[in-house]
Amino acid sequence: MFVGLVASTLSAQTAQKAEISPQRKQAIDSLALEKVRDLSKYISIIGNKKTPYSEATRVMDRAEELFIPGSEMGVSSLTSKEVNYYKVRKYFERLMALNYDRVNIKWYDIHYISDLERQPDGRYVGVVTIYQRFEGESDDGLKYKDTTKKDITIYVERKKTQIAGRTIEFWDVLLGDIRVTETSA
Amino acid sequence: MISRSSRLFVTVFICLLLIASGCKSKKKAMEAKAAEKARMEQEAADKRKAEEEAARKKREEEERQRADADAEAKRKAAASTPAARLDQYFNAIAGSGNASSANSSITEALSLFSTPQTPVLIVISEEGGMKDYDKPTTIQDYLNYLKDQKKNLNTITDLKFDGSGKITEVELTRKK
Repeated sequence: MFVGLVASTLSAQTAQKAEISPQRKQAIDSLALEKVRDLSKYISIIGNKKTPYSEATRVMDRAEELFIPGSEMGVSSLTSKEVNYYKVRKYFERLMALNYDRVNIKWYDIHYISDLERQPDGRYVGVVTIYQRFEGESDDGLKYKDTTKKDITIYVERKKTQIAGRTIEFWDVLLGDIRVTETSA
Repeated sequence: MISRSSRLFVTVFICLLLIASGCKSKKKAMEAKAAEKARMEQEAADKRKAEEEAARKKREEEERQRADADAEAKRKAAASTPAARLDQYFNAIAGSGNASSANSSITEALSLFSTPQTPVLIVISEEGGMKDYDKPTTIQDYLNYLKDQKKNLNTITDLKFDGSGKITEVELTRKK
């Protein structure tokens, strides 16, 4: 019984130790939101028809690094009720190849709908919502516009790495699946 | 008898008048001389004061010029430090209007580093001496990040150098 009490006390102390102060938590919240804003900019660059192929490919690599491998992106349209899901790399490639002469993509109103919360495995998980305004236009007069609301699952994990012989602990923010929740004109 | 006495009296009186008049003239002359002396002394004092004032102003001007020169030298020295130069590159890349200009700045900035793979650590918060970092990156990726995102959110807080003066590690801190 004594051993059990000691073990539970140690476990409680470990759990308390793992808790982070509001100031540090706020910094992590901001870091995760910044990663979403970064993705927004990368998507805008990839979709932009003026971006050279080599630059778009480099940016795709950087954008892909933001995600947990295997993550999917939902794609919807006003002409169909279906939402298609693609692996993020495939989504970027399709975005780059869109059959418009001008594409403008803008994300706005980026905010948490579910705060980052610590899970039993030590990771922090939360959900961020964004609104995406898409505008595509062709020289032959073809135009398409829509606004999509999307939910992005965010995972934040404490990791370690070696830099010049020192162990550096850092917060690794990774994005999960991006799900479409609304599509409107 | 009376007439003789009167003449003597008149003579004495005239003499006394002459003496009195002589004394008065002498006094006037002395007073004039004293006034002249005082005027000359005042002029000399004024001249000395003006000279001292001019010398003081000259000294102050020289001191101000020396201080300005020192400040300018310090500013130039600070601007030429690797941290200042790197900060200028960060701002130039993030604020660049076109990709070719940003790429040119990236190439120049990379010449400050021992390798394009130089690690970049970003402190997102610090509490009680404990630092929270973003995922470490490399200087090449960070410079491209500035070009793509067009935002410079961090300040340079530490640089490490090798023997030839090239940067081997960068620590940045998130601006508040």
